[in-house]
Amino acid sequence: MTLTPTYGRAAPLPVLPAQPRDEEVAGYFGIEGLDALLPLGLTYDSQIMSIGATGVGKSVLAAQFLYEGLVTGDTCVYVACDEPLRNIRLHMAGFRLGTVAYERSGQLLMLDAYGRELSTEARVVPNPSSLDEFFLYEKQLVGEALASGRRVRLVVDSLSTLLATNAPADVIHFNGHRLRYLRALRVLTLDNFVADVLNEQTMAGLAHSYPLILRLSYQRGDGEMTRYLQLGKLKSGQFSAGQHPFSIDPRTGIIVQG
Amino acid sequence: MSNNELARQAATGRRSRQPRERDGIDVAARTSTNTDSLATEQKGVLELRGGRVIVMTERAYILLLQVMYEHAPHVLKYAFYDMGYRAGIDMRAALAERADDPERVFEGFVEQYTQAGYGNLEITHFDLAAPEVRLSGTDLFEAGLAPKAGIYRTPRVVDHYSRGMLAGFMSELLKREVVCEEVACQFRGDPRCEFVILPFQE
Repeated sequence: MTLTPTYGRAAPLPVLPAQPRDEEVAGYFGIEGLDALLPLGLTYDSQIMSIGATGVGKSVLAAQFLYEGLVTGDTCVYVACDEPLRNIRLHMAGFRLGTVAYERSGQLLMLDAYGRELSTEARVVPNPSSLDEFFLYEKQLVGEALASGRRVRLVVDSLSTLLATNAPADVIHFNGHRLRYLRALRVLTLDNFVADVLNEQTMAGLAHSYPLILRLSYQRGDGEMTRYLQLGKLKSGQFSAGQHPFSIDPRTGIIVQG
Repeated sequence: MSNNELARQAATGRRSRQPRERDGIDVAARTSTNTDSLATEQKGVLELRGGRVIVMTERAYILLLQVMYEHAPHVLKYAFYDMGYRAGIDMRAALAERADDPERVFEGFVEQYTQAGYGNLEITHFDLAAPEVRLSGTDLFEAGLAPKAGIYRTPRVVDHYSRGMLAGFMSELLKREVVCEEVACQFRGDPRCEFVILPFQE
């Protein structure tokens, strides 16, 4: 099957000075308390699995991770699977972080894997339930980002939505291949996973492919629900990091308690 | 009088208006020091056009950044953006008598920005219909002082006060909320700091 992506480009801004890809520069989340847990930062061949229940803050974290890439000069790719791209633009604008300027300059590439035939976006995956089709569009956009000559970071929010309709074995095989591809091209990747969308066995299989796992959870204490995060490397066996309480400020995003 | 105008006058050495009569006392008669620009009404107090002023040194600004970072690192970029935004609104009010062509008014603002010592800034594109404005600058104070602050893990755009000021001024000028993004910064190693002002996403 030959696919012709419905890619289009808004009127570009004048070419801005390009940041050379510097493999030695570390990447961060852009969230102070979380970055402090990673004193050396992340190498750009890292992939992060971010897991949490609906509403816990995964998309806020993803927006901050994306914005951190933009302000540090990365070319960023955002793939929306759970809601229209308009929502992420609005969400970031609420933090006084405009995305349009970056989109026009080509530093931010946004892919709609949600709206399908109803989408009015320039870049749309017509049938994101097909993993092959999704990967084709994702690769094309990543390739476009890499062509900028800058470091590249990718956010998929949330990957679990796309994977849920496929067989577990296919899901694990697909994502393993996809992550190897992204690692080889040194694309710093954050994949969001909504907890409990995929079964435990599938999640365990997927998690093995990610060098970094970030789990966001709720905890009841003193009659109130508290959010906390855990950061760990699966290679080390279990989550080694402690629980770090955090809150979400409507103006500034995630605040990890000291 | 806004801090911006104070800074502008300090930077340009322009003279203030005649000292005002206040509480029946001629301010000039009580001035113990020097220039017409900065009057001292009492020991330890500097005044300009009837408002108290302080002078912030480069070192003091760096300390402010460092202390804010230590106590509330997550607010840094948002706080400076908001401060700049409000200062931009003040500056528009200060230029209210200039009700002519919006582009001329905006040029006046950029001129004040430059004269105030915030940095060398110029408009590279002004499209009121879009609306979209682009600016390019060098030697902006935030980018220039960022290396001395030592609070950033990696090179990045840092001119949050400036982009806030640009957004605040333009929002007030257009009576429509806009967002300003800095898409290149000298602190990040780019040759110039580049700003883009676009309407707030609605």
